[in-house]
Amino acid sequence: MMISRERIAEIDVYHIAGRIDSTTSPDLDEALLAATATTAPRIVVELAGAEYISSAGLRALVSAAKSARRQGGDVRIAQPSERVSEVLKLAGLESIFALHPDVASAVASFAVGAA
Amino acid sequence: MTVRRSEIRVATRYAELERLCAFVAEGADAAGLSAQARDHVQLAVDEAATNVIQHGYGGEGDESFTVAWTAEPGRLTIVVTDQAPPFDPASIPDLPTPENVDDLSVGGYGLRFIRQVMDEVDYVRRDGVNRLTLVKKTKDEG
Repeated sequence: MMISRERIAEIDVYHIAGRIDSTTSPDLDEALLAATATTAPRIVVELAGAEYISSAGLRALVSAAKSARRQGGDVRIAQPSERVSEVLKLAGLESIFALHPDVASAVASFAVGAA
Repeated sequence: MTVRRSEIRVATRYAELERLCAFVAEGADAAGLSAQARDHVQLAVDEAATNVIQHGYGGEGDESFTVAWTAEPGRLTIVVTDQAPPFDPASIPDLPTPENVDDLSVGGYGLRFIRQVMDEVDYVRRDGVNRLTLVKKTKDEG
């Protein structure tokens, strides 16, 4: 798994590629939890290149979303790969996470209304 | 009817999961399952193996367990065998579907996935051995 981060319009955008499983999810967990440890964290996780995700990866995303929302922020998902979309659906989480077709619309979604 | 069978021994290390996913994908292809069914099988076996490592053996270590597949046309049977303390997936209740972020469970999705994506899930404990059998069929067989 590869994680890269950029900042667009004061929003932390994480690009995740490769396999997100029990081996790699601790790294994702660490990166996202560090990002959510601020006031009203606004985070976009782009998952176009995530070729595989298991419940371990999902746990990292859920944990980051809960933490961000507790701080008055949010985690939004951009461009989930087909496999990621299916796993989010299986978990019943597709309506919990705001899914966006691309990074630009996920970033823009933070400008519309409160985080 | 052609029946193919293969078995591997897996160390109780999460780094083994990728190799395990590739192994069961061979079985899915041998059974002629669809690409989506192959993805489902990989997910279910990953979750089952993660449970064996995490809950069965209490985390990564120097133990091992076996995973075998039997492929018949349109039907793949996977058997995960370990000698960890008993762990019956059927004894764990289903997660409720979350309606908002406060209700979200951080964990517990693995068993839900196994039940959702496999056609049959069977657990037996006998002579100190846990045996989890997972079956995936092509759709038209039900």
